[in-house]
Amino acid sequence: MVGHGAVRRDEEHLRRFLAARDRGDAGEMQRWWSELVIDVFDRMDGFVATAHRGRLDAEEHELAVQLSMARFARNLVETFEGVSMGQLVNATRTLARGICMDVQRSSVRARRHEGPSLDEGWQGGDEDRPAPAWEAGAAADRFERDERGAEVRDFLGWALPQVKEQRRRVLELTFHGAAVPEIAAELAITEGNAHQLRSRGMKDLKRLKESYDA
Amino acid sequence: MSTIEHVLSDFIEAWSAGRRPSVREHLARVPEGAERDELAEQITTWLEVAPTPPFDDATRAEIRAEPIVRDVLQAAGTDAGLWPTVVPALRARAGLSVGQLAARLVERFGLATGDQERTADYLQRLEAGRLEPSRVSRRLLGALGELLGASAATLADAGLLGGGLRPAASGGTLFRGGGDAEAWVAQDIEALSVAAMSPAPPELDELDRLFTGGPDG
Repeated sequence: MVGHGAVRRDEEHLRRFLAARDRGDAGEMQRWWSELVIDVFDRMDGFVATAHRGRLDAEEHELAVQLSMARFARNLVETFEGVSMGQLVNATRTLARGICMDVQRSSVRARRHEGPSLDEGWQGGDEDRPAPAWEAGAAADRFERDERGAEVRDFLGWALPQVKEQRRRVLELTFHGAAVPEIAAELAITEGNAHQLRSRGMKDLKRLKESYDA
Repeated sequence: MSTIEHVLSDFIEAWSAGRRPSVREHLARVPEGAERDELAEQITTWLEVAPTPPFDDATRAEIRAEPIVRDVLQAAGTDAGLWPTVVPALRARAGLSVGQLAARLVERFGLATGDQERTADYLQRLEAGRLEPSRVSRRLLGALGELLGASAATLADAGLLGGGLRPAASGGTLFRGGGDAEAWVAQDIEALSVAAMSPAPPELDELDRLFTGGPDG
């Protein structure tokens, strides 16, 4: 469950990890690396699942997630050159897709997919001092602002104005965690309409993301 | 309203609430084919842009206890990384016993038939985490990858997982001024003398080079 008043932590974990990596502080690196592994696990599991869409059985899915996490964990230490969770998420998606193809290739020998490089998005840190715990108010405020990372924020800033108004408003409310009944009440539409606008808005975002990343 | 829209909404709301929804379960709620592909695309888009939910400590502990996460975190502290978990799983999935895998390697590298038992022994050591991944040759990783259905890079990642997270071994020598230094220095000199007089170990053969000769072995 989400803790009330809890702070979104992944950006801070990444910042501290990168700072420790820059300093060569293995103990601190391992500490923040462990937190990032926890931060990214569900997303990685999801990216693997959407990549194979049910074509891998449960055991193969677990194996693909495990191998993806291994690559994620190693790349984070050795080759990740980004600075934001947005960049990390992009790299994670590509990586999960590549590993899935790897596992699927051997699983379904008749199917041979060509895909992006497994290392796409990975190439090859801010001073880090014993800062207040992230529960501290000042830190909380800063991390709330940074919670999505520069890449995602930039993308949404560019993309949302291009989405039709009602869909855009549904998406904005969705990003703020609003449930369908709340969205419907806020926009004076039916719940069915809210579901539909949300789905169409996601399609718009997908199309725009492809243009943005091209 | 289509099922896709409902399922997508359910997923997004569960994600945002920190309930850790399973993508696999949500995808399974729509028929395989165009509908599932459409839903997968929309969930992927959400995963690309959605913030990580601010999990509370109990949820983070729950994630930490997931078998995959637990294995990855533990592997970071061991020299063998994830090989003791991943290699037997890949081998089982490929339907090969250790002996059969050894036979395939012997054939692939043109080794003597008599090397099969030693190869199997090396494989058992590899699976038990008793071989250092950084000493295993790229040639062997490539062959193992092809036989087990994973790329050499994937196998290397699994084995070398935590290498960069451990402090580098100190290359220096520590001297301590106190105590009877002369006695233990004499012991060391004696041991070095014995070692110097001992016959050199046999040269690595092809099989040794594959498993312990380093990346270029």
